[in-house]
Amino acid sequence: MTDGLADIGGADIRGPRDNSRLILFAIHSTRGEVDDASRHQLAELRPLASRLVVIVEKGIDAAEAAALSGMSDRVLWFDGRATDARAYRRALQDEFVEGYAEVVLTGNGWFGPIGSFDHVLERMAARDLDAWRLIETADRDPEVFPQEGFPRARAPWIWTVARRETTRTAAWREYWAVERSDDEEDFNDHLVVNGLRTEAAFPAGLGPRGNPGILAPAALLRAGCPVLLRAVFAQFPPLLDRFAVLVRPILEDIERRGYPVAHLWRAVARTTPPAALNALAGMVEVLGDGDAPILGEQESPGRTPLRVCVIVHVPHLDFVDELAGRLTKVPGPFDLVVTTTDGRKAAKLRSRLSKSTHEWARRAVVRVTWVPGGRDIGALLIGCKDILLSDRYDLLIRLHGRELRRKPLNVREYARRYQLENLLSSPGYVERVFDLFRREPGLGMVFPPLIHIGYGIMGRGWGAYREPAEKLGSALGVRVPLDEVSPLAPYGGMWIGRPEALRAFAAHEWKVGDYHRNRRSQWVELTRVQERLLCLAAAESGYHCRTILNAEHAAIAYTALEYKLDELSSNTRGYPVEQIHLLRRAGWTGYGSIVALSRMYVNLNHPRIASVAQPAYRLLRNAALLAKRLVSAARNEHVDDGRQ
Amino acid sequence: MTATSELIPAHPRPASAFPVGGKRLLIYVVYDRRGEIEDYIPFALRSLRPHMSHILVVVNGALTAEGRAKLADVSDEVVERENRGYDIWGYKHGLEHTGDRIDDYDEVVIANDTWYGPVRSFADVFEGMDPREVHFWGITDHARVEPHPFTRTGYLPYHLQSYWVAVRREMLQSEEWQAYWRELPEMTSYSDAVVKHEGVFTEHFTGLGFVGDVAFPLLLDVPENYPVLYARQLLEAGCPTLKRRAFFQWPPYLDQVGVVSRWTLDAAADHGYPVELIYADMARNVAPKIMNAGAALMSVLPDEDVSYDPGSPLRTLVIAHIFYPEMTDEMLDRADNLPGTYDLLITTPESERADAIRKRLQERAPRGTAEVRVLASNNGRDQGAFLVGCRDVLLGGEYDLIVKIHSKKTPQDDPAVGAHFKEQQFGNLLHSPGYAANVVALFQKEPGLGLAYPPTVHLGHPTMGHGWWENKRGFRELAASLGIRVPLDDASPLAPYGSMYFARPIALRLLVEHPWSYDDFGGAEAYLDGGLAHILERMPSYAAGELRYHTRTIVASDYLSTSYSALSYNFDQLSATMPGSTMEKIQLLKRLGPWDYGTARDLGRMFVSLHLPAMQGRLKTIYRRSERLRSALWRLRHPSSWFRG
Repeated sequence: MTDGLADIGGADIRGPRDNSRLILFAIHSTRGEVDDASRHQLAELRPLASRLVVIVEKGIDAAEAAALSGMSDRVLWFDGRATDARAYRRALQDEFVEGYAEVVLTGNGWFGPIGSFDHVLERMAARDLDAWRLIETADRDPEVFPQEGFPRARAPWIWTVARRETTRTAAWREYWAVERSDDEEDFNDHLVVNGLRTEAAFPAGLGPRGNPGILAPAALLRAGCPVLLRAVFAQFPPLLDRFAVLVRPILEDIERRGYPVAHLWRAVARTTPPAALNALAGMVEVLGDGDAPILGEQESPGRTPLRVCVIVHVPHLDFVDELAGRLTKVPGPFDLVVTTTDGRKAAKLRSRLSKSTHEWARRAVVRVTWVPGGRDIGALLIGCKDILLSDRYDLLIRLHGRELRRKPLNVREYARRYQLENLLSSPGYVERVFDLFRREPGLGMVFPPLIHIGYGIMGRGWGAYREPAEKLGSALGVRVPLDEVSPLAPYGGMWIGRPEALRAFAAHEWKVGDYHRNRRSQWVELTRVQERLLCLAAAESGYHCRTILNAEHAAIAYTALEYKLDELSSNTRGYPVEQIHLLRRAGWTGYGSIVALSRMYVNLNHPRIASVAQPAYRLLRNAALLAKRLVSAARNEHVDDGRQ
Repeated sequence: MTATSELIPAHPRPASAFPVGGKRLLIYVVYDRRGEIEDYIPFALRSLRPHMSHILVVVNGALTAEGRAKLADVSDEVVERENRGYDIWGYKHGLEHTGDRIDDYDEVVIANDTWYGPVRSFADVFEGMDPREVHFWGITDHARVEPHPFTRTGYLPYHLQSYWVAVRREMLQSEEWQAYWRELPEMTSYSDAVVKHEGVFTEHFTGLGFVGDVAFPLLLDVPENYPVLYARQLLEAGCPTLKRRAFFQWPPYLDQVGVVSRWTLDAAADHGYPVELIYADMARNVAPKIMNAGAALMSVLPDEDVSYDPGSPLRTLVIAHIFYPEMTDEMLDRADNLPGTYDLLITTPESERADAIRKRLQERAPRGTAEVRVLASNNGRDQGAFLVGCRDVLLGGEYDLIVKIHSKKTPQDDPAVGAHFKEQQFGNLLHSPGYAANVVALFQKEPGLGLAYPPTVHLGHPTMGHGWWENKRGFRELAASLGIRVPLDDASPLAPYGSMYFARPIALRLLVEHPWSYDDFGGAEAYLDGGLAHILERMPSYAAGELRYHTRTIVASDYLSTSYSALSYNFDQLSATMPGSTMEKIQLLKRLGPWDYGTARDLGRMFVSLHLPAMQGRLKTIYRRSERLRSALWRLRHPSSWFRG
């Protein structure tokens, strides 16, 4: 045994003795930014690296890239996408590798380190090898779902290590002499073909399909792997479902092990479509009604008081009693702001509030928000803009008493109870909701999950609002990818959230006129588009959303959901991912007419013909629709797209 | 004086109030396919007793001795008749059976057994209706609908619902009344009963000048079947009757119209109705998964004990089948989450395993007696161990509650999938001490609760829509031979997939009583889909239902988070390509039939089943006969096949 502290082993050490390590760290981002999670990686890798070189791909914000020079020895620009061998080739052209015991090719394709790299580095140092990689992937052509919005996830190499002996071989020089769009496994193949000895710290057999990185992240972590792949968050949720990849317990686990999950949330909130994220990370919270338990040790002792404002829109006075009952469920002090549509109602509201036995009611502020066509959301964005934009409150509770006039009584009652009771079930429940916000600084909003009893929103949450939402979203600077089928949204218009999460949305200069009927052609129906954009806007600011249910509503909604899904799944084979993929590939079923069935046949069995025929079909259909519109415009008919 | 405009005849005949101290006859028609009479019926009749001078029960079909005894206690006369013509011909039979004695009564109520009650008071209803000067009255009504929802032509008139119609003396003695029943047409379907009687009765007699009335007039300004869709609101209005139909309709239908039967049951309980009568009836007569969804019989239990009553502990036995002794501690740690004391019975197939298990037991503090049994055979695995190896204790009557667990490894699955399944089972049965106490408390609170187990596993398992697999036919046969007549669920059964559960041993009697032997199960090679073990895995809730015990699913909130979010996302994705409401989507898919691989043949079959259902048989034959032609065409299109043998 030597007594050198830097030396990690004794005489049987086969790996590099001097421990000098060059780390080439590639940064890829579809958003052109360097996120906290990547910076955390760099900070943690710094002590492991004798020299740390960051390769920044084209399109990354220059100021953010420049800031990395303080965290590394060098920042290099790569004129392309930093997701394959070419990025590292760029660095190797400039960097002198000879002096190092090993070269590590890695990048921001993972979250970590979870625990530390020490263990795995130690283990691999003891192996007599020329090169090794952290995770083996035998699945060279992983299943992807481009049609469902989940194309192949691209990321820099995870972690490949070449030892000094390797960098001196002809095989090494040969490899890097040519430009290649290779992944880690291709590189490994090249070394193996040339007689070099390589291994993986975590073999492909740890996961199904030989793809443990994506399909068995929990097994990897359990085996001591210090990374969680970002690619996990870019998967089609039903695929993860197929292999029981449960991200929620994984996140709990890595948080326990000290990984700052806030970085991860901030990163994935901005890159994964919100509804998909909600599904794959299991973000439905079922909260109890009893006294909220004492917070765990990692939280600050006791509960930090939150500055809470309840903003309620009261379009008719029948709602007042129910509202008053609900507000008694809010624990602790809060301010109340009530908006209503006209001065007469405002006067009545003021007089009723002033007679209340509750202190919060007597202090309440009543505002008149005259926003025709703006429903509840116009009253909020225009009539309470100052509150949304101020720093006065930590949390806003958004409620309203808007009637769903066109729905049957049962549906109206259920929907109202679903909204109100799942937000303000009991003081213990609301305290638990507050605790969610206390625990997670990146939590932007909570609201009940997509309602499915009495409503047919499931399967068509975007309705006619997807294109307008894309348009409005890009006007607001939202670059978070949209969900394909239904967006994650507080469809009922009630939620609890941080004002910061909505600041970007509220900062837009909304005007009363935006909601006017005449603007309909621009936004279809602005209120519904806005409702569907709230989470995306929060995500763009780095805030994620969760959905919440109390135990009673969870039982009602779960048993109904399970029953309906069981029925809906009974005529298609296999796992949900296969059932969904088949139906999605087949396309619109219509009512099963001969035309629809033929179209489905072509889509399923001759996708190439379909890909040619579809644009033509769409062109024809759009032409027909345009003609119809022109004709009706000429006849001066009103077309109302606004569906309830 | 009448409550709705439709009941006012143009030329009303004179009518009178029900006289003080008057006599009333109840003709109550029962249909029970078992002939055993559910307990809600005596409850209803007993409460009607003070208002009736005579109660005549007409039974469509035959009674068992048990059923006859139950009715004898609460009625004056019971007649059995051939089950023909629905409840309407039962009324006719009752009227004919009464004959001239009908003249003794001031009012005759013809009612059937399709409602639970009284939830609110009958006395209030009689008190309200007696002084009204009318000829006939009902409890609830139905608005006019055009076109007629059954015949699609004409209209369905405004009518009193036929489950309860009271008729006063003037009308009973009229020639029109006699003629109506004399000329009552044949009824061979449910639709006949509506089209030929219920829908026309009211209009017929109002047209003849008889004055009608209704206790709870048109609840809403839209024509609906209020007692089914607005049962809760009717109870609020004071209605004593709660229609059974509200609880056994197809859940996607009730769901579409926003009916939450859970809240109806809660309202009934709040009004003091013993809802265990409803649960007992539903457990026997509604398919368990429909009951689970319809009444939202799932309990989301917290980790804090909020409900257990240590003052009335249940005698509990944990039955653990341990094939992998290394799992002993893990399993018993879970079992130790149970409140209070419990006895332990471990079964294992070999004595070496038993020794290893005993060694583990020695190092643990027992919470009651502990026994390790070496089984004669591992056939049937945990099922065989349970039904053969533990038969004596299950039938012994020593225990109120058993907890069935086993050392689950599912080596055939991917490790993550297997680990999830295990956690899904143990985690939702015995999550923590507080959680387990809350589960036991469910059994303390509900004497009719037979079983509690986690909801169907679905992450990593293709169970959605396919819970029966190949086991339905075998299930049906075995259930019939065990005397289980609970209706079977359609797509998937409600079952403890994984075979771990809490149960009252008494609820499992039909399953356990059968003299099973290890040979019935066969060896490892028989542990296949369609095999006995898989059939029995699906049977507990149906067996318990036959004995009037219901099932709850139990779930911890961490599992629910993952499960709900996945189900919700999958549902959204799966329903994206079909038009209409969820119910319409399901109906369309059902009409299309199996998709298989979406080949020309599959889609052709869909076309036929949707558009040419009448030709299905013939086309199938043609398809089968044309095999040679089709294979020739296939070869023609695939030149590479020309050169192969």
